[in-house]
Amino acid sequence: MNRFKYALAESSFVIREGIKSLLNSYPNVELVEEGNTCEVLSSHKLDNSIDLLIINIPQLKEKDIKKIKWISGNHKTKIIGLTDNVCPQKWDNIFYEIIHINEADKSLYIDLFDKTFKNNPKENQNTLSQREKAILKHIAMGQTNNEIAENLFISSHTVMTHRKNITRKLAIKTVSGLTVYALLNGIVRIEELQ
Amino acid sequence: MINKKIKMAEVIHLDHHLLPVINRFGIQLGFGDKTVEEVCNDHNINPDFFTEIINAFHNKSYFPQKQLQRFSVYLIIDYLQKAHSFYVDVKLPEIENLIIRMLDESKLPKEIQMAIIKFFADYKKEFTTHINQEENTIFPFARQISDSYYHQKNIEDTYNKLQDYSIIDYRDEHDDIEEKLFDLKNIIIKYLPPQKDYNLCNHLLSELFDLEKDLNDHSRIEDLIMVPMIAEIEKQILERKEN
Repeated sequence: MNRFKYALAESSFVIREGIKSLLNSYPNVELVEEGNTCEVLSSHKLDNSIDLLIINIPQLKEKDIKKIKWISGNHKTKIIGLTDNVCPQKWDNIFYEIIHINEADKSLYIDLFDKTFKNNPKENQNTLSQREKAILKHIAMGQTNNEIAENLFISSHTVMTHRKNITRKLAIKTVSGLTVYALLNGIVRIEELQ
Repeated sequence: MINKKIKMAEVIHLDHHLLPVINRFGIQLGFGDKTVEEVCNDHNINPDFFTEIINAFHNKSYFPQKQLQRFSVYLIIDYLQKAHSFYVDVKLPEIENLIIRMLDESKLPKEIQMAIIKFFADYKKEFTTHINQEENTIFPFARQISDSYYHQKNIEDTYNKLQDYSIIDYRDEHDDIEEKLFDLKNIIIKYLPPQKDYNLCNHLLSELFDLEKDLNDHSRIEDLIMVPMIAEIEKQILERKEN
């Protein structure tokens, strides 16, 4: 059986515990190293290939980026970034996904980890979460990503992540298609559309 | 691989989805025991060109690149135009009628019916715009450079045009009009409440699947046959000018 090995580079104890408890519900997932960025990146345990590195972005320094690129290049390790504010554009392509921890709800983490471990999503994960339904409603009403972000007090990056997940769950991509779905399922009423 | 010596009837037995494709060449059922070559000659169609197109539709991994140079660009453009007119004048209206019939018989609220009808109307508009762009820009461009290459017409003007535009630009901008179609399929398969006349729904879905495949094959012909042919002619025109 394949064991997924992951490392957690996040100095906040509470955040680490939260992530660990989410990951515990996946079988065959094993934590090989945790601690702050410096400790984790210099650990020799990362020299054996790991499948996933979860790392705090604001605490990263330029010298850390080199090490991270080496890890992801050599071992096809996925790198998930955690941030509480914006992520510098230039580092965008290193990360498999970026999570804004102040805004991300539980379903965002579950969808991400399902995707990461290519788990068969549990049955209720194929239905939209409350958050996703809210976003879908705004899409159907014709709002742009930026408008939705403003209305829900989240970043447009998070809106885009939600949209990707919605499309993946429903297999519907276009705004008009999503609008029809929203109408059929009572997520939006015809009077609320433009 | 389908070749021109086999009977046309065998081609249909092999793959009846090719019927709309052969219709585009003006060939209809009732060709008896004639071979592909014989039927083509009867209709003034180049049999080798015909078999290239049929094979491209029949087999996704078929790459007819070696044979490309034998055919004139005019043949390709004619075929593509006939295909466009089939989609716009025949297929899309047929599908739209099926959708309207299905909605009429459904118990869905009027507003939702309107939303679905609007969805398809938007798709038709997008589709027609895409096709018009090809017929008003790319096809005349292709004809012009063919006229210059084969018949030495307007060489100066063509040469100047090639400074600003190439078929490669078209290929890079060639966008995907199949997304809405894909969405519609999923809505009907998964999210539309069960309708009393499910046979009608099945028929509609079957038409959508067929159209999607036809469009995919059509795009492949544009990208794998038309574009390289024209790119080669462009290259030769520019080289000639340099010498």
